[in-house]
Amino acid sequence: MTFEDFLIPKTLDEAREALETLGDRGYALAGGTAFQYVADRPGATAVDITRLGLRGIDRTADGFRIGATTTLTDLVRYRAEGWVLDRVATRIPTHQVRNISTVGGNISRLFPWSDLPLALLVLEGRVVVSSDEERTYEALEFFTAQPLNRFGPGTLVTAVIVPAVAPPLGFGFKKESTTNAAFSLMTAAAAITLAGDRLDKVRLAANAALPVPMRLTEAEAALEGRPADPALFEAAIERGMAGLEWHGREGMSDEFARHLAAVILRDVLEEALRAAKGGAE
Amino acid sequence: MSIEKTIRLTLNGEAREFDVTAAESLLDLLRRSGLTGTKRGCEDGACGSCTVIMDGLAVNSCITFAFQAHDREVWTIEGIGEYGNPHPFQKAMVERAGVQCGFCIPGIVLAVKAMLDEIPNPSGGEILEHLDGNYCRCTGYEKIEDALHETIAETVGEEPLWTR
Repeated sequence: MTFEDFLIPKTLDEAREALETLGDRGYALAGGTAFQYVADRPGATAVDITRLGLRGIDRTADGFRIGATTTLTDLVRYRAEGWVLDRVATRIPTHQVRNISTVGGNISRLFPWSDLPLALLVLEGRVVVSSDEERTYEALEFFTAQPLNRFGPGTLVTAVIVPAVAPPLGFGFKKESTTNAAFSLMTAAAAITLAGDRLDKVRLAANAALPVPMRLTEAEAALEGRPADPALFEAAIERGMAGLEWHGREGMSDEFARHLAAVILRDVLEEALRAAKGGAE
Repeated sequence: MSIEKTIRLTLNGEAREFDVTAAESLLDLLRRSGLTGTKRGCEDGACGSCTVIMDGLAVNSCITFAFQAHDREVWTIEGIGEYGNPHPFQKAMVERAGVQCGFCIPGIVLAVKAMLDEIPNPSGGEILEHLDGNYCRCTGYEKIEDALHETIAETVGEEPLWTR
């Protein structure tokens, strides 16, 4: 995208006011790396939101609050019990991009290959949005539509909240790409909460071969309440994938995309189950 | 019609002011300022030829807007080492024949410098993480790895954690 003007506000209020005044000509810009995929619009003005004090990760009572302009490298470097987003961020290429791309930017404009939203969907993360008032959205609600299109001018994502992950909650994540620096051919994520030897809660999501990252709710429903037995995964995945159109990327046929999805979805469920059991096989 | 505004930054250690448009990339600004060591490669943030260091971190100048450098510190290859006093990695690259066509090398030097400034003796995983954004289509990377290994050994004065 070619911008015609730019503003560099120093406070959240200044940034919101500028975006409100600019209306649909105003674009909040953090890392800015996604704008190369956005079509030009006359009069487009970038509002740099990287100096508003929205960067950093805070440990909360039950998880983590991540400021919107926290970079993907910050996610990779952060270490704490129950922190799993380093595993996701490190697979988003490349190092130079991770150094400047932000959490807020990564989730505000969805692409088929968006990886971070998958993790938020399965971990049931929340997104804090600031307009005239602050409102917190469940990830599932936030990602039901292209986030940028559903909020009015002057509305900004200010933080993301994720739980700490520890047994009986387990997390699984896997991404396939042609090279380390390429976009995802297929990424899947899963979270499983155990209740004794049963699957109490299952969250499963995929992207890349789907138009946007999405949860496979039919598969989740097929597993919840059932024994924690990986032998049940294949049939549940098949049920969850039915009705969704899987599209191959970068020379991959649709048929192979569907096959790859089934394999990776099973991998992440198995990984999440192992983690939910505390790493035991 | 793009509006010109003035930005301030510290460029290779020197306070500078530039009039830039919103559309201008940091790469374009650097090259029109005579700093042509920063190379124009893929122009979509994949190859790393345009890597510069901004506030201590390697970034792709091709997908960074010039105005994003306002009030920040930027280093380009022109600010790293001198002919008689190269950066240890530059010296090792010459001695180990890590340079062939040379087009990607400024970006690789900047990425390596940013890494070693932060982690003087990186692990293999940390090296992969820091250098996954730099392509070299001539060397097959082996000579560059030789140079990096030698640089770490010489600068930290001990055996690198990373074993080849």
